[in-house]
Amino acid sequence: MKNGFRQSMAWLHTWTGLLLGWLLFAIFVTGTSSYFQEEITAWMTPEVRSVPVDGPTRFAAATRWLEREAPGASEWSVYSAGKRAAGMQLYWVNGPDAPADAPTDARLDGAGRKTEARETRGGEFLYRFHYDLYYINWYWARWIVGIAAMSMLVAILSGIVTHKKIIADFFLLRLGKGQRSWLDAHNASSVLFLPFILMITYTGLVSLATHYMPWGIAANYADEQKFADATFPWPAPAERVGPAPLIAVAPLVERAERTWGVGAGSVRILNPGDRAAQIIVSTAPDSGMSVRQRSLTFDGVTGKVVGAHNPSGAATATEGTMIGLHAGRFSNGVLRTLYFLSGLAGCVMVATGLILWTVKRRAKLADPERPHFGFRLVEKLNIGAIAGLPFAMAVYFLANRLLPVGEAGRSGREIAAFFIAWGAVFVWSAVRPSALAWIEALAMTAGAFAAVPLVNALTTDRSLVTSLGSGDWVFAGFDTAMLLIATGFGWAAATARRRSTGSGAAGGKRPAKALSTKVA
Amino acid sequence: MTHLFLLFLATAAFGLLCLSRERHQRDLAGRKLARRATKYARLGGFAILAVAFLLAGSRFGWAVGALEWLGLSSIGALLTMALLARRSGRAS
Repeated sequence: MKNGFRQSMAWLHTWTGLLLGWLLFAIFVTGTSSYFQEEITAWMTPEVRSVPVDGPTRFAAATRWLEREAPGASEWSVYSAGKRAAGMQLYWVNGPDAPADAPTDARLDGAGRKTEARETRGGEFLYRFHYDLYYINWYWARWIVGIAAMSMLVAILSGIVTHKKIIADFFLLRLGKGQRSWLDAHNASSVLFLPFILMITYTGLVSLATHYMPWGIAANYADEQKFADATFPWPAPAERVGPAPLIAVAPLVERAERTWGVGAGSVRILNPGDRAAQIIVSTAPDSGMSVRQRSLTFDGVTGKVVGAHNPSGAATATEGTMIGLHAGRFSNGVLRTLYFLSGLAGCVMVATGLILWTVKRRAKLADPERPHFGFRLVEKLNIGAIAGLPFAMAVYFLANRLLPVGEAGRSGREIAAFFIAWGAVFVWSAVRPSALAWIEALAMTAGAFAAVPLVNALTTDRSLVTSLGSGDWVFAGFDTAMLLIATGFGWAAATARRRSTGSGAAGGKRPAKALSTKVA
Repeated sequence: MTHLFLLFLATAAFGLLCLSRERHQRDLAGRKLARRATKYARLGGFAILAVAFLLAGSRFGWAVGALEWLGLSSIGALLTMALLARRSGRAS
């Protein structure tokens, strides 16, 4: 019976892992990159120089800008992503006498000057892709991603059962031994990083729990709006009563920060310049482990506290902390790097698992020269996913630098470049022999990543050398990371080439060595 | 500095735990260890992990400290594995 159970778990592990593996790889890679979402956005808007300013001053500067540029608005809001953000995002709702096409948003730098940055979705595109996908309705996308995450959880748990010797093989990594090495690399990346991998999969499901299981809301609230009002209160501007000057914002922000002991992340002002004005100050997204934000509401004329929102209760705290743990916004530089490396381990786990499927079956093929359709399909999809998605990301970064800056709709073109590049690798792998397609796709990816710092140096004045010299760690770090990733893929391509020309049987496989160096 | 020290502790702890495995002793230490030494290596490994946890928790707070401890432990185990793979690769 025990053997039968383990075998059925092995079956479950193989097929849940394979069927959603390609999507999971894409989710893992884009999700991992999102730990540096703010840094990616900063790199993709090289016109914005980050000016370190303390919270209250920054919000006061933004309010002064809005007073000047959007005086008749019924509400203003100013958002900052926290300490790592290069600037602030402003939105406002125009009053009835403003023309219909009047602007309703702007980006300011830390000092409160409007930035004329190139139009791009930056790191936000990769972040949104990891749970909303693209080109399809977000509602269904989240279901697809949820099914993938659930399969991942099934694959992890059945994988633990399947792996007979977790403790005995804990430190084992045998290199250059074909299938054995692939299995060791798959085990190493999943076992050593198991706490992270379990956590990230489970909390990922929790973060969209109300999407997957709306019945809890249906049972306790009359409709979804009532639930939203209770969890994320969003008061509308009241009736205007007559003009009155708006109180200075900086002291209120300071007071709110003192009350909480953490930084403020957004200020929303209802009816500015009216006696009915209200100022709502909320905590920053990176201010605590829970993602549920606290807020204080002030009277906009007298500055008296008129309300406070403190999400409390065990369920809210648990949910908020789990989502916070997933997103890691609260983390400092070291923890963020650990998150990123653990995410890479997850990518390696999925990639080696996918490759292992083909490696295991290659030995049993009736005619290795002419594998059956299913085998070829998996092989091609593996190339398109594992080499194709990173290639697409490099092309996304390159497109950011190479597309004309002032062009309308350029952020959409950056994204189109991403998907065209990704699709091209699938087509390439379909028309080329798999062993060659692996080498070529990996080499192409290495080349594309290596080109990113180069093109950056040619198209902006913030090259790697300049940023190293001026201590600009965001730009220097980004360019260096590109070079490291390029080295990893270059190594993988070289090893795949050596394997395919060396021992003929191992054609087109990357040995574990190249992969494990990418994790380290 | 504490971060680096914690990484050192995690790597040392997993190094000792690895050394407490009979199958790895020849690769890591060049010979089979005595039963007592094996036992001390295992105890020492777990003790260092516990010390690292206490240090991380008291230094960075228990929430962030525990996370950092987990993350660094993964990296420490990975470094140990890389060292072992290098050694055993050279031996065979």
